[in-house]
Amino acid sequence: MNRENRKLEKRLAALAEKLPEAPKMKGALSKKPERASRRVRPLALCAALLVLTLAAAFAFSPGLRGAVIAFFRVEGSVSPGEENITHLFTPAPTQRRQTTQEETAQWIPLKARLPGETGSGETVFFAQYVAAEDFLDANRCFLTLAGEDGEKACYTIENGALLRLSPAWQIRREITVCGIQGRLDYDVYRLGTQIAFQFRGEAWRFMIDGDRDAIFSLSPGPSATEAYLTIYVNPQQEEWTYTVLYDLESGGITDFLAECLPEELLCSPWLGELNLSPDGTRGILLAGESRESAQSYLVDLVNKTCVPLETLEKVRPEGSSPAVWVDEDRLLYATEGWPCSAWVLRLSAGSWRTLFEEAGYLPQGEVCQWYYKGVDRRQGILIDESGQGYLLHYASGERQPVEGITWNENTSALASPGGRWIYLQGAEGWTEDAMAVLDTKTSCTWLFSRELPKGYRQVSACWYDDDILCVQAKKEQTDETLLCLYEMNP
Amino acid sequence: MASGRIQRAAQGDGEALAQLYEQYGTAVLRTAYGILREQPAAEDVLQETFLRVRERAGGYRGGSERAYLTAIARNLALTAVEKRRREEPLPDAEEAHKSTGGPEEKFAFFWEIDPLPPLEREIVTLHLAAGLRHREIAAVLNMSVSSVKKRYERAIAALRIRREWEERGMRR
Repeated sequence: MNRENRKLEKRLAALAEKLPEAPKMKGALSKKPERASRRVRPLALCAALLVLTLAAAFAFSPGLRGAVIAFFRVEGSVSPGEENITHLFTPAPTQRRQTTQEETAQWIPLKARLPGETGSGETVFFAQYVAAEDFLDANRCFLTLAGEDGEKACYTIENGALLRLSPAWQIRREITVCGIQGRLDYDVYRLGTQIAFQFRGEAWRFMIDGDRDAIFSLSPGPSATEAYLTIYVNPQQEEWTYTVLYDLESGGITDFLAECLPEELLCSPWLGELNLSPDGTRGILLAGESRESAQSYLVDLVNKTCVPLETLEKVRPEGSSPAVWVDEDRLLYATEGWPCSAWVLRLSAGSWRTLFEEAGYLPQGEVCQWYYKGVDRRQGILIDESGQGYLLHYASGERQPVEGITWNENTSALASPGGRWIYLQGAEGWTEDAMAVLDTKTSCTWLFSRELPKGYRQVSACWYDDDILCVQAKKEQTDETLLCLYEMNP
Repeated sequence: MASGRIQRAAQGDGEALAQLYEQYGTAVLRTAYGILREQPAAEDVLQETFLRVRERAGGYRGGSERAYLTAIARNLALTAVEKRRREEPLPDAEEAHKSTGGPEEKFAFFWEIDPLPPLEREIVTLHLAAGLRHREIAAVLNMSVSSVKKRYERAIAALRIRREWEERGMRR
């Protein structure tokens, strides 16, 4: 953290000290009757009136936005406009149609597909907008949204429409694995070979209540009918974590690790979560007496072997973080903290490649040497002392120059699952409304002014699939969600 | 011994419960306030959290007491938000401060961090207002420690940049 940020942190800490303290605990704790009404309703009414007034002003003064945008370097802009927003909770017209799962599903056509065009008329992406009560997640072609009633539902985007999916399986059961008791409460959605899980339990995912020994969590497995079931014993301490396969159709368990791990490892007091390779054929496991003394093991799930990783690592760089799978044969190691160095180990050859050494800020004088930040398992960004950014491909070690932006340490990057696109934010001179996407194929960065309706502010971004970026904006007064879907145009 | 206080409180030891309240009550209150933005509702959560400890802490298996209590408070506050969202909108920061009836300076911390996205806001609140370490925040939010650290640093940087923009008059 640099000096200016540290200063701000101190200021916030000083303000935090002024916050009210807990009142004295007088007598026994007893339940209070619920307050009959809050003072919020009249305030909400005032807020709604204010929003309406502002919305009207906004509609009649587009020049104001233009003036603000013109201040910054912009290559294009895209704005929804109320008429182009699909309202999830008042879908009109909602249609019903047959899905591939032979069930009748709700089908909500999305409104206008607005082109995001550059000054020279080139269409870089198409934008669509959905208003919902809440947006919860997007991943592998599944969108989890909440409707007006707050009920979570799973959707997919198909031919310009939101298709509400019905769960393929509803799992509500007690389960015992390795003698450990737990409970599964999930809706499972299937789309071709892809599966997604929605937790439906009441208890918080990482809190253990009196009836359970551990937290049981499902995640997509190696096939469309199998899931990885991970058991977290004492999750706050990450004390003992174990993964088995759960058959979604039969509910049966396959203890695939038991076939690979020696007995003494299975009985380790501290067992970390299995870190699977992208193809799921190998995994890295940390095991030992405690987290501090745990050692890394490479588990081969095909040949059913387990070897200490250090025998393959030869000379593991000192101070490096746990390995990250770059691909099926390569592991990335990077030192934690600054200055930062990174290496790639090729398992089949047992050879090391140094990606870079000592990137980061010098503590004295804050002179930027080389700055590094990881993007995903395949690539990271290196920024040199002039602000020139390079995309660093871990597998090949190649440094690909990226033009068009002035990087700084606050620039954040979010890669699409396939790695083709990188969504960027916070570069030098960009506003909060700036939307920039780097095409890694062409090294070209597109910068757009993404105008949101008045009162909305971006809160998160994620990739729905390889080409569609989801940006979630929230209305400041009411927390209503606007989901902006940007489909890249390769 | 400090590590057994939650179990003792769950078994009806009033002294243990009082010690926990004394030590972590403020962290619990501030965590709840950060989510609910309303002092009376945050005090309800504070009370409910310690009632939970007394009535059903059987699942506690060691680890940070502060993280455990904060996690319960957070869960209760989120449940309250969810419930309230169906009934009436949450107060925004300004109205929330008015509703407390107290002087605004007291809540200036939440004014300052209000521009952050919810998760970052929560991380900053847990660290600076509730006093949780990054490892404890990671346990409460079900995230990796490195991710908590990164988000925290990014949040502070974002607030600093915003502040600079405001000072330069570049923001809308």
